[in-house]
Amino acid sequence: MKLLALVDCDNFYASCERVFRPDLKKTPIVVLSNNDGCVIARSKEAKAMGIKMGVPWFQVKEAYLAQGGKVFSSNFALYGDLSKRVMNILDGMVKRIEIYSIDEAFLDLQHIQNKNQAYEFGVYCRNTIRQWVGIPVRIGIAPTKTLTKVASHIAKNTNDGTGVCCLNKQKDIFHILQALPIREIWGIGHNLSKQLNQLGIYSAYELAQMDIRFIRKKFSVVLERTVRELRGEPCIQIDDHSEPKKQIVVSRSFRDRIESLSELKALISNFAVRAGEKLRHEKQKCSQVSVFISTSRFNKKLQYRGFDSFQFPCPIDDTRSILMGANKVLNTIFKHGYPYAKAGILLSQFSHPAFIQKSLFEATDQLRLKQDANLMQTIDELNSIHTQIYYASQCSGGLSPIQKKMVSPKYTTNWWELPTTK
Amino acid sequence: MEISIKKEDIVSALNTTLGVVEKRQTLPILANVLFEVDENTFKLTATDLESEVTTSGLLSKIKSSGKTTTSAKKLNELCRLIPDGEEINLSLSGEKLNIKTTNGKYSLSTLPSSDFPVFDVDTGDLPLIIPAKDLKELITNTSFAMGNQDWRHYLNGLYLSINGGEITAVTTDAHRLAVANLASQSDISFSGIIPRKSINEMAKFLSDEDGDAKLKINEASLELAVGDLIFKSKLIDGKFPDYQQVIPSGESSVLEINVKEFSETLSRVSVLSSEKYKGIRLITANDGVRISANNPEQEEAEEFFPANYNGEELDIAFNVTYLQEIMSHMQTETCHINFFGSDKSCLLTPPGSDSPKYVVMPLLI
Repeated sequence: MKLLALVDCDNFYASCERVFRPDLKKTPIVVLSNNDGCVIARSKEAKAMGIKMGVPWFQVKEAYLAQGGKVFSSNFALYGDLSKRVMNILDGMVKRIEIYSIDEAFLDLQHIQNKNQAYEFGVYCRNTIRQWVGIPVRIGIAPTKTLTKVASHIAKNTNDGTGVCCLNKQKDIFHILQALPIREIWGIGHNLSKQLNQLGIYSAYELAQMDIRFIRKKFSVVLERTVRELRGEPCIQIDDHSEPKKQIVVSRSFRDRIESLSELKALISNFAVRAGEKLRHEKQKCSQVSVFISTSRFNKKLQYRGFDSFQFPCPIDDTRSILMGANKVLNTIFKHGYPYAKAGILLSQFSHPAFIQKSLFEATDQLRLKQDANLMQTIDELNSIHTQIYYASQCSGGLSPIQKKMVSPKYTTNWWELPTTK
Repeated sequence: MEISIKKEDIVSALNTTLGVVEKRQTLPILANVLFEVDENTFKLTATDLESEVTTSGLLSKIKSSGKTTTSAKKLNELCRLIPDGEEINLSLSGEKLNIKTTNGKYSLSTLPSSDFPVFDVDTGDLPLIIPAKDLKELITNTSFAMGNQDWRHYLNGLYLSINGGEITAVTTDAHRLAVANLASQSDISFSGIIPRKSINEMAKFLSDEDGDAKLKINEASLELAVGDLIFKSKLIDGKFPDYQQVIPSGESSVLEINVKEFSETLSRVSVLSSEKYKGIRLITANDGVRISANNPEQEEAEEFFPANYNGEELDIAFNVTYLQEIMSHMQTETCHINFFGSDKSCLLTPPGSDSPKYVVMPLLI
């Protein structure tokens, strides 16, 4: 039987904060969203204190801090880098890996034939990541992706200390599915679980026993796949070729309302520069740039949303062109007298640089294109090592003046914020 | 108004007008067709404010004349489903249009005919008379290369130029260009861009059979009369690009291909091209051309197509859809593909003829 594994980092953001702060090993930790608005990650101890996911920070702040909890603003540079380190280790262990999210990856265990070997591999994998990066992970091993999610769920809720669960015997699988509510199954959301409950289906086992034809007719082929996967029939393959992005969005909500065009222009320019970097990193070119600005939806008196696009005659990936298009759009959609609370930039209509359709009416100077590409590459490289090159319309201070009062140092990505020892 | 019409007559007239009626209208009355009865004929008019079509037919019986407007879609569906050969009785009673057949009666809502927008265009008195078949061929050979919802609004149509006894139709979406010519006796001089939707409607109205089309045209609008049908359209206000500048000329390498066989080869190879970009690669050699494609799933296709080739070896890529569409409009058995370099546009023409001619820009590889 071919096996797959799901490696899931435990309370990832909170665990990242602990890597360089071993003193916080038993302390409750919460991580807040941009602008320190809501709780987006909680350690096991914080969960035990009853802190809910997504709760506004101001609602729980006082009680949480009074009980000795520790709070951090989000530090995505740190989380992204530690995620990359975990994924690199996993990549070296197996032939095929699908990085599913910042803290999850599916592994193809085609080289492993029996349950004991698979279990041992899981324990080895977990210990290696713990030792090399310092992040705790749990590992679910099973014949299908949906069952690896179930196995990971079991690994999380059992206290044997290994953090690894291997499901490869039909009898064991059905036994576990009988006790598993359908809302815990991967791909079954709130509405679908309600619809299934109305049909008298409450456990994963009951769902796995449903007639396939009925499921496809009454629901969808997606649910049919889930049912088959619960039965141990692999339907969802490991996807190790990530689909190219179809659009890139850079947007922010502002802490303070912005009314002036020049201030907004500077921020939109910052977004455009970041979007350009992402576009080149994706090795794509875009033909359209769109800009949106809006007032707060809670401001009932002055409401305005502006959105428009600029079309390029040929696909581009040059930040200067993106800035030109974005500023043109901003000039047309901006209205004076409104307190803007959110703005963003969207790049779309992507082309792969290997398939650029030449235009009859816009001359493409190959030498100039190459020079421009070299310039962008040089600026990207300089900016990546923290020598910030600014375009004239940009403002300093990053993507927006967001509030991050409790952010931890960028321990692994900034020379000036390296941890020191006494 | 109280009249009788044969089913076939009213269905045929309604079919003609339906293309102009917008599916998503800004004004409710634009979903309606204007129904006018006078003496022993009926007249149907539909408009989308950019174009207007009027057609007429004979009545079987008339008790009283009149005019009204009613939903074009509902009237057409109803009449179409009435058994063949039936006589349909239509009468206006208050705000309802009553329809009676042998076994049924139906009542449709109406809106006042006085609210129906008047399409007021003055296209002059001097018509250009062209065989309908020739005008249709001119449109068919070029319309597929028109822009579609392009931000450069002047590309979303067909550029028509009448000059020195020659009618020229040009279309382009900036990646390819189609040009076709037609000799004319007229000394009228004109150039303008006919919108995409109007061109598609005109192609439907122009029959393949013998008969003349009368075209009246000025800077802002055109009027086409074919038989009982009159079609009017506003023109696109914009400057069409200088298309002659982009038709390549000079020394070229010529590949002579059999249109049907080349088209079939392209279809086979393109199965494994990228679904999004539809790129195929041509590598020319003395005895033919090697055609290949691949996709992100690492699948590959390659075929050698034997053909006469005169010129240097070239490695060039195209969007296969552009080549396939041109092949499907080539009416000759063979076609010449003139290459001017691997990063330059190529010119496709029938052997020994200048019309139609097509220019395609390559993909950068």
